This record gives sequence, structure tokens and C-alpha cells, in this order.
Amino acid sequence: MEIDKGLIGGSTVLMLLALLEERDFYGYEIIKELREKSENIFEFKEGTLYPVLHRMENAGLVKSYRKAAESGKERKYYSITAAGLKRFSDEKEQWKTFTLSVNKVIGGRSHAFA
Amino acid sequence: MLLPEREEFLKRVLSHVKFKYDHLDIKRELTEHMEDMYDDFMSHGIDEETATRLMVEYMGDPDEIGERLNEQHSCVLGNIWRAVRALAVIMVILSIIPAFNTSLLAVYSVFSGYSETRDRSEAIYDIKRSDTVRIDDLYFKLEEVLYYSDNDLEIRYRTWYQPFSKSVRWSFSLPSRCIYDNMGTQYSDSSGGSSAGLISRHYLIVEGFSPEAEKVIINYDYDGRKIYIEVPLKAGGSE
Repeated sequence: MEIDKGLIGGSTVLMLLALLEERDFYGYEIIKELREKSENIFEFKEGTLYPVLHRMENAGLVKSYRKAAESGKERKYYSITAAGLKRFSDEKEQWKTFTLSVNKVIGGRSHAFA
Repeated sequence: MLLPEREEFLKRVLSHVKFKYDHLDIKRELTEHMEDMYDDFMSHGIDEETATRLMVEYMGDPDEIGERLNEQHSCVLGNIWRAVRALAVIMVILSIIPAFNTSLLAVYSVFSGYSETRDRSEAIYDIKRSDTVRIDDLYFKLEEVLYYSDNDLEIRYRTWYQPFSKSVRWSFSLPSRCIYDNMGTQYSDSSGGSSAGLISRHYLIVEGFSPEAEKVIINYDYDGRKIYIEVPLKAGGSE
């Protein structure tokens, strides 16, 4: 199933914050984790992750540092900030309200057609 | 691993980022991502050519990525940041210079000789000493006593303060009235000088010091602060 890129775009920040709330990640790990968790539905172009991460860093939601990964190679890690955690909880609430409303509409229509 | 396809991709991305100072960081991060992806493909048994092609394909449109990165790496903000940082460096340097001057003087005073005193080759004899006395946070170290044919006696010493002491740094130099010989004569005709620095060098030349004296006695006692050092001389029948 393919999902409209615009839809993904709107929720990318929320998904990234959700991941980074668990632990610090570097870019390539984020892509792998997203792919795994979404069961390959979110297959966006990998390079587009970085402008999003850099935007989040500029906004103070995450900060970055360099550290040796498990492989021994040095990678640029991202960690969530206090502002990022706050944004995450706000956006999660908005997302719940949004999906609930969409489900009501969809559920309502399907019920009407039943 | 230098792949021309990857380099071409990175060049295209960076061509859109106007703030050149961030190029290195961006290039590094994207290179590392592509390296990891390439290694993953190879570990899945994909041949080099296909791995290279897929790597570039999976990254996406370099023009789009470059343009969006450019929005996040603003020239204006970047340059303000650079200016602030440069200013901070200048402030630090300006605050270091006075301290540096002082330590430079100290180094100079440690390594330079007593150029302002008499020529030591004129001395009949010299006696090396290293008597150290502490007065509060000040250290006094007698280093040398020289005697000249015109009856001048020269006393060379150093003073310095205990490091990190908080006490008031009173400037100290030995007054001539505290120079005696073993026959009880007090000498008051003298001249002297001091150098600045963390370790100060001093000299005191006492005129008309008796050639018969067997000892020079430094007896300083002021407000409970005392220095008492006896230095046997080579004159007065001892030699």
C-alpha cells in the first residue's frame, strides 16, 4: 500500500520525536527503525530525513553530538530536548484528536452505507 | 571507499547550500548514511554496481534535498553565529593578554641575568647561597654574595609570593640598615634595584664594607617579620 507523501510529511516530526523519546539515534538508524516499525509502509526517500532533522535541531527540539556507534564508526546522534518532549506530548494529543475525528467520519459513513 | 556516483550526488546537494561553512558537516553526515546503506546492501549479497545504483536512488532527489537543507542552513543566522563566536574569541584573547604579559615578565626575569648590577668579573670572590625564608606569603631567597675590590659588597636575592595567596602583595626589598658585619658595624650607604614579575630579582650594594669582616649578617626585623641569615666571608683571615 502506498501512502500519500503529504500525509507522511505532516507526521514525520511526530514520528521522529516518538523514536527519539526512547533513545538517541543517528540518521541511518532512524530510517531502519521507521521502516521496521511501520512494516515498510513509510518508505520515504532517505536523504529527505536530514533537512527535517536539521529543522528540528534549529527549532531546539533535538540536539546532535558525535559518538562512536556499535560498529565503532563515528556517527552523528540526535537526542530529544526538553522542548522536544513537550512538543511530542502536545502533538500526540493533537494526532489522537485528529485520528479520532477522522475515524468517526469514516466509521459514521461506513455505518450509514451499511 | 570513494564512489564517483556518491560524490556526484553530494556535490549536487551541496551546490544548493549557500552557507559554505556547514558543507563539511552536511557532507560528512550524508556520506556516513550512504556508507551504511551501501554496506547493508553488500551484506545482503547485492553486487557492487547494483548497491551503488540503489544507494543513490534511495537517497532521493539531490536538488530537493539540497534546497531544503539550504533553508535550514541560513547564511544570515550562520554569519551572525560566526561573528558572535569570533567576538567571543577576541574577548578571551584580550582578557588573556595582561596575564600573559605578567607571565612573560616572570619568564624573562627567571632567565635573564642581573644585567643592571656590577660586572661579576670585577668581584674578588662570590659566595653562592640558597637560604630561603618565608614571611607571611612572601618567600625571600638569598642567592649570592659578591665582594668587590673597591669594598662594595653585593647581595643578590629573589622574592616571590605563595601561588594563589589572597593576601595583599606588599612589595618587599631589603633595606640597607639591616646589613651588619660580625664586628657589629651597621651599614647604611647602599644602592639597590628590583625587577618586576612573578619572581622578582633584587640586588643590594653596600658601600665600604670592611675587608676584615668575617661574616655579613642580614638582620631584618620589622613588625614581627624576621629574616636572619649569617654568611661567612672569605676575607678576614679565613683565606
